[in-house]
Order: sequence, then structure tokens, then C-alpha cells
Amino acid sequence: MTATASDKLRQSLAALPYADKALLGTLFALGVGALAFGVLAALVLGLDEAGWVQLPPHRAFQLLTLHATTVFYYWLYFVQIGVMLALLLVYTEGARLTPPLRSAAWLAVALMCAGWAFNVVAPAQGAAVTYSAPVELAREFANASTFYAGYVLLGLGLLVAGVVGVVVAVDGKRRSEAAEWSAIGYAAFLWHALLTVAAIIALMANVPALQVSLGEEPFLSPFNYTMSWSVYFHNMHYLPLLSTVLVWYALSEATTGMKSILGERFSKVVFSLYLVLVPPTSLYHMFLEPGVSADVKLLGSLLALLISVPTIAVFLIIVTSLQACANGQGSRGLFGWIRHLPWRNPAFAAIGMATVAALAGGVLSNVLIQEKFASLVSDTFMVPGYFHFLTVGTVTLTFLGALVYMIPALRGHRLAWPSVASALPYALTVGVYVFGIAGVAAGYMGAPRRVMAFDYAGAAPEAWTTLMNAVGVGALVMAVTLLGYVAILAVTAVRDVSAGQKLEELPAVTFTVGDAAGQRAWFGVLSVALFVGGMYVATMAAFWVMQSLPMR
Amino acid sequence: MMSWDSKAVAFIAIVWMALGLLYDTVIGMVTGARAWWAGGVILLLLLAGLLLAERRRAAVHRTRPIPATAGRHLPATQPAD
Repeated sequence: MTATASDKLRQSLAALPYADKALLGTLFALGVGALAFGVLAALVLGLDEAGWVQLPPHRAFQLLTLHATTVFYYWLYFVQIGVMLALLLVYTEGARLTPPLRSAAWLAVALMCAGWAFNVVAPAQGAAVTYSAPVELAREFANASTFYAGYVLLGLGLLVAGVVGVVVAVDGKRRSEAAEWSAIGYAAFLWHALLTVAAIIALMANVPALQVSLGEEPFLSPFNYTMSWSVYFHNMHYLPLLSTVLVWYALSEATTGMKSILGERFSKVVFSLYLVLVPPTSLYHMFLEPGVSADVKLLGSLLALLISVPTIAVFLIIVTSLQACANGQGSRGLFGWIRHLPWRNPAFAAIGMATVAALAGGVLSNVLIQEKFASLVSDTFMVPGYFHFLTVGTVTLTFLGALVYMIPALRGHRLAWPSVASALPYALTVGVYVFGIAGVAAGYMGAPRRVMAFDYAGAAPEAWTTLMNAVGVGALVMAVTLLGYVAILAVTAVRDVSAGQKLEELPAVTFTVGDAAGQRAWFGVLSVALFVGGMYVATMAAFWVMQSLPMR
Repeated sequence: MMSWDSKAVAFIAIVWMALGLLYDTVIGMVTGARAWWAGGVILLLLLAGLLLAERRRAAVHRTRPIPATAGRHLPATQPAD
């Protein structure tokens, strides 16, 4: 293979200065550590919800708070900041971490670590406030202010990290010969811009909450924590969507050599859509707010339909480009191109299976964000059922795919146990589907969320027990698979295992720029049609299940 | 002259600020309006930094001619970076 697009990421990461590698390595190590911690908590919770272990009720909520906070805020943000910074440095001409910026990035890491410590200590000492930490619930716990202080430190860390990324990109442009960023560099800049904005919005929610918990007047007036948290959380869950599709885009190129057949500019327009659509799609978080009018909720339902548009568009770009290139190399039929792809490459398998989980997560989330339906299921197990398709099956798996590629590239090590690493995405997807389908079905049948004892002294429907047992099996498979990833990444980081495989020796295909010329590629469009059809079927199924419940 | 990147950031900032205005005046949701306004202002600050960097870049390249292909949008069939 010649030095093509597929070599750029690996070679550029390997060529980074030692100080940059140390920073990225620390972010990845903290992220993987947070993942391991959060997964162990999830494992115990999954077994508890299945009824296989019995935790004291308060202990279960402490674990739930630790699990959700650690995984959503610390695993996802340590790893995203590391991966997005790496992509910025690789794909933005002239970008470099100058010593003051590197020091600022270390400050961000320190602030986030301090935040994490506070967010672990507070629940460990009893503040089982859940990760949304509503102020009404927080009043029940003497040390809730410690928890909010953790979120404030996290917000400050994210703010510094966002500003560092923006300055790296902008300063790179000053040095660059090119007037425009590449598509990946531009999207990485946008991600850091959104992170900066989201961090400010996070502070606007959490600083007043901290003040309230300390008995002070909030500095913002009027202050409504629930609505502030909803707006902040909306930004915080949009960021992983943008970074996930950017990793898909970059790893597709790194493992196949594919470039978008629709051009860099079109990709940049689609990445811009993420930021354009953040504010108008936020209203669906307010469906349960009594102070929001019915008209606004209806408007929110309509606007919420836009939320999947950028992700679907990036999926279309990638799939259409891959199919056209594969067809150019001789693949035939609607599915022939799929066999052409490097499914035994751990990084490609991860992003490929992440799209399989995203299909279910996307369909189910579009059912939930319908105003009339949200109020029926928001407090049921449908919610954790569907969002694990996205948080674990899509986002986490995508970033594990990125780490499987980036850690060996940064360390110059072989990837440990590559055949296991290439099997893990399939196992994780099975676990996510078992957990998700069973959880969503249980939720549609009324099984509540954030309840640990599901039998209700024998009064609960029998189906709940069966479905929650399946949830427990899915949780077990997910936990074991994720811990397998942790082991592979940790060993790869610290040792150059002789039985491992170098990145350049992993299965790959080499698409060239001319492969796609004159080729037809319909799979992506048909997938989107399937997605839209799936939304209708899932909505009808949801109403059918709920109407069949013995309630009037 | 503004690059495509700067124009896109300007557009996004305007959308955020306009929606902040709508949230306040039409929807009556102060919390949302406050957030989108703050976001719009931050994006405008980022835009100012970006424009400054592009101006300094242009000043350097006025004195040091750049290759004919640099600074142009590359077709999809060529690596852009």
C-alpha cells in the first residue's frame, strides 16, 4: 500500500511530538478508566434489575448515580476531547499544540479529574441524586453541593478544553497555506466550538444549582433548574453525535482509503447542520414541563424530527462512497459491496456495527420524541432501553474503534489480541440489542425506570420478569465485552505484545480516487427508506402494545 | 475576504441568536433564550478570532505567493489535506 489517505491518520499520529502523545494518552487512559469504573457499576445494576442480586435500595441508587455520571460525563468527554483533538492536529494544516495551549489542555484535564472526584465522592457518601440531579431531590442530601461542585468543575474543564481546540484550529489556519479547512478539520473545529458553548450553558445550569444547594440566591434570575438542565443536556448529547459521525468519516478513510464522492464542501455543509439544528430541536426535552404550552409542545414534536437529519446525511455520504468505490473494484448487487469491506479490521468492525445499533436507536428515539407519546413512556424502562443503543452501541463502540486505532498508532505498539478485538463489536451489538429490545418492550408494557425491585411483591405482570431477565443478560454481555475492550486497550498501551498485529497489517481495503467513477450506489438511500419505514412500524407497535395493556 | 468556513460560522451564530430571540419573544422560554443568545455571542467571538487569523494569513501570503491549487476547494477525487 502506498502512502495514501488510509495511511495519513496512522502516520500523523505516530509523528506527533512526545508531549502531545502524553496528553492524548492521558485523556485516553482517564476515559478508559472511567469506562471500566462505570461498567462495573452497570454490571451490578443489571444483575440487580434482573433480580439476580439484591442491593439495598439506597445503595442501588448510589450505584446508578455513579454509573450514569461516570460513563456519560467522564468516559464520553475524556475520550471525545482526546479523539477530537487528535483529529484536529492531524487534519488541520498548520495546527499544533504550542506550550501555552498544551498547559491549558492539562489544566482542562485537571479540572475534569477534580470534577470526577467530587461526582464520585458525593454519591459514595450518600447523595444518590441521579445524573440529572434535580434540585428538589438534591435537597434530601446534605452533601448534594459536593455533587454540583463536581459538575461546575467539569463545566470549567470542558470550557478550557473547548477553547484550546478552537485556538489550535484558528491558529493553524493563520499558519496554513490553504484558505479553507479540510472537512474533518472543519468538523473538529465545530465540535470544539460547540463544546465551548455547551460548557458555558452547563455553567449557567450548575453554578446556580450549587448556589441553591448552599442556601444562596442563584446569580441568574429567574432560574428554573429543570429547564436549564434540559437545555444543557441537549447540547451535551448532541456533542457525542457530531463526534461519532466524524470518527466514522475519519476511520472509513483510514481503513479503506475512501474519500467522499460528494466532495469536501458537501460534507462541511452537513457537519454545519449539527450546529444549526441544536437550538430548534431542543424543545422536545420540555414535553413534561407543565409551564410549556400545548402549541409549543406540538412545535417541538415537529422540529424534533430534524434531529436525525445530519446523522443520516453523514451515513449516506459514507455508505454511498463506500458502495461506489467497492462497485468500482468489481463488487456486484445491492449487498455485494458489503462483503468487500474490511469487517475483520477491529476499527472498521466497530464503526460498522455502531451504525447497526444507531439504526435501532434512531428509530426508537424518533418514537419517543413525539409529544403525545413521550409523556406515556418517559418514566418507563423504554428510555434506558432505547438510549443504550445510542450511548453504548453507537457512541461508545465508535470511540472504542477510534482507540483501537489511535492507541497503537500513538504508542508504536502492535494491537493486542486483534482477532478478539475484531469480534468484540459483534458481541457488543448482540448485547445491546438484547438489552435494548427487551428494555423497550418492558417499558411499553409499563415497567418503570429507576426502580430496582420489579416484582412489586408478586403484583407485577409476569412479562416484566421475563423481559427484565433478558435485560440482565444483555447487560452482562455488554459489560463483559466492554471490559474485554478495556483489557485489550490497556495491554496495547503498556506492552508491545509479540502476538499482536501492527495497524498496517490489519485487514484493510485500498479504494483509490478513480474507483467510484460512473458507479451507482443505492444502498444508502434504501437504508434511509428502511429507517423511515422502521419509525412508522415502531410507532404503530408501541401504540399496539400500550393499547393492549389491561388499563382504561 | 471571508472564507467559506467563516461564512458558515457567521451563519450558525446568526441562527443561534435569531432562535434566542424567538425563544424569548414567541415561545416565552427565558431559559432557552438565554442559552442560545450566550451561544450565539460565543460563536461571534470565535468568528472574530477566525477572521483575524484569516486576515493575518492573507497578509503573509500576499508577500509569499502560494501554489495555484492551495486555498481552493479540491475535487472529491483528490486528498484535500
